[in-house]
Amino acid sequence: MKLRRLFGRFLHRDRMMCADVMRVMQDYLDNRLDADTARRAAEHLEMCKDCGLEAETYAAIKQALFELGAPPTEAVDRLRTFADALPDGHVS
Amino acid sequence: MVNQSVPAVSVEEAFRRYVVPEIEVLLRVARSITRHDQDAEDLVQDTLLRAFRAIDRFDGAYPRAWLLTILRNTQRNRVRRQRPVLLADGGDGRDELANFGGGIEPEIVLDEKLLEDDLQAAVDALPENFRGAVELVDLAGLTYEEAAAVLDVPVGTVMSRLHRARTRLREQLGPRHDRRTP
Repeated sequence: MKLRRLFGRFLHRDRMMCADVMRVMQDYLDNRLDADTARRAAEHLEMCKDCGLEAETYAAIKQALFELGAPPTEAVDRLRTFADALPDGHVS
Repeated sequence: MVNQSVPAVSVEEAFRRYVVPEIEVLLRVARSITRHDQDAEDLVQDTLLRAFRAIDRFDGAYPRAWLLTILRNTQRNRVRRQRPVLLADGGDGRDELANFGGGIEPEIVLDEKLLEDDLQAAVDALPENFRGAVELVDLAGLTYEEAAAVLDVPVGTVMSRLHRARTRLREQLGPRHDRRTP
């Protein structure tokens, strides 16, 4: 039994635990982790339901915040028109 | 006018290539800083004008960072013009840049209206410093480094404020939106 646990630990020494993933969750969502850590975090999120849902919740909030920050389309269009006119000297 | 830093590109082409694609991000940031739609549009317009006048000296690297610097300086000048009395007390406009607080009126249509209302309320309820980080990174889409330059604070400070702000938002929104909650 002890041997099996030790062997299991050796086999999965690469794996992240829930606490490890929670520590890097924000950086993971912002794509700021190195490739290896991101892969290990992704593997954990794939197999751990709780952490996976937690990541989904954070990702949903992040996406909703980006949509919340969207400026009015008309304002963007007006500024693009303004910018387009600059090189032609129509605006000084 | 000749573009000396990027000789193969005309001033007009450089402006269209480096500046125009950043207009929406500039407006997102300006709305966060001014918290007023018309002021934000005016600020971006001034920024575009300054960028056009300076594009011949721009080397083509990191256009967003370059534009954010112009936007930040433009805002400081605008604040200086508008608030001479405060400046007599030593203000330099930084407070206004960091003053992220209520009043923004987003015209947004989200699928989940409930989440949108909750989210706006939760963002408004954040402490000012936290709100600034969230607005620049999550609402405006800046990187940590870009947000740090706008706020004039170290990247680590942005990271810490952002992570703590998100945790608060998660806690506030969690009870209703957490899928684990029955």
